[in-house]
Amino acid sequence: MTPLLSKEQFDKELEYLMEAEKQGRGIIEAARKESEKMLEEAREKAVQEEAKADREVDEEVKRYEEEVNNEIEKYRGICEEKMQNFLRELEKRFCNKKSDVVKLVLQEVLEK
Amino acid sequence: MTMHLVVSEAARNMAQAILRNAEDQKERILLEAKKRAEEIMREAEKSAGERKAKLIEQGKEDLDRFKEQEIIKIKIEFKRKLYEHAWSLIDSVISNVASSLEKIREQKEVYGSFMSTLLANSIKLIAEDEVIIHIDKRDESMVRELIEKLPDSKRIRVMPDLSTAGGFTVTSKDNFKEVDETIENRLGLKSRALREKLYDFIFGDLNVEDW
Repeated sequence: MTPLLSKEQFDKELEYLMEAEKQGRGIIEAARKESEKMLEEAREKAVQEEAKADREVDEEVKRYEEEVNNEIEKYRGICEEKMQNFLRELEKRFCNKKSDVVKLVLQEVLEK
Repeated sequence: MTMHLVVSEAARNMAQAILRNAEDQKERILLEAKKRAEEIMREAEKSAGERKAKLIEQGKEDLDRFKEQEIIKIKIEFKRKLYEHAWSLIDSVISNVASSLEKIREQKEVYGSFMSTLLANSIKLIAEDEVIIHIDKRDESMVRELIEKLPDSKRIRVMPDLSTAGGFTVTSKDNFKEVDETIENRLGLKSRALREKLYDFIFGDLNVEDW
């Protein structure tokens, strides 16, 4: 049979176990805090991830906007050049046909 | 533990069990938290990735539409410039052609035929006992000759009081009736149709629409 503990020994062992229990609770409490911290960090990272995605969207759209604007300007340049050629052609034809134009006008005006 | 107590083996075992249990719980809590954190991150990455792709696609679509609209605007703008230039050339020729039309007098036969027909028609139109023909001094002798050939030539008076590239005006004696057959007036009346004809004649085969 296990001998009964003296009151003093009993108190000491009880205190010892209570201390162990306190340490155990401390360990769990610390783990819970650590857990909260981990989750909080994860949530912050999630927010940062969204913000990062938004920045990337802005950058990508801006880059594409520049590309589009460059294409528009390029097209405008091509059109400008084409238009100048076209205008020259108009002038050329106009000069070449000027005397015929007078005849045509005359013909129309004299039409009875 | 910092206590300096003499405790039994059983109490030490119990304390160790309590601490092991606490360590186990700690492991579980941290593992669970780790999993949940990873899950949060996975969801965030997925959501951010999807949102990013959607916004980029939407932004690019908007910009593509903007580009199409700008290109249409540019085409319209340049077409308008081309048309404006072409029409300004036509208008310039019409407004400057009147002086060139004076050369018609050099083609005596053609001009004579033109004047003869129009004189007869105009006098008929006025239909008055006496009519006055206003002409340019340069046409006086030709007009008088033509009038001689007309019936009722005595009721026609000729007044060389007009300055014109060609043609004449006929008025009744009281000036209430007038027929204007000057080249300038005929040109003015026909200018609208003439513009179209000239455009076709000069630029007809240049298709601005295909531009």
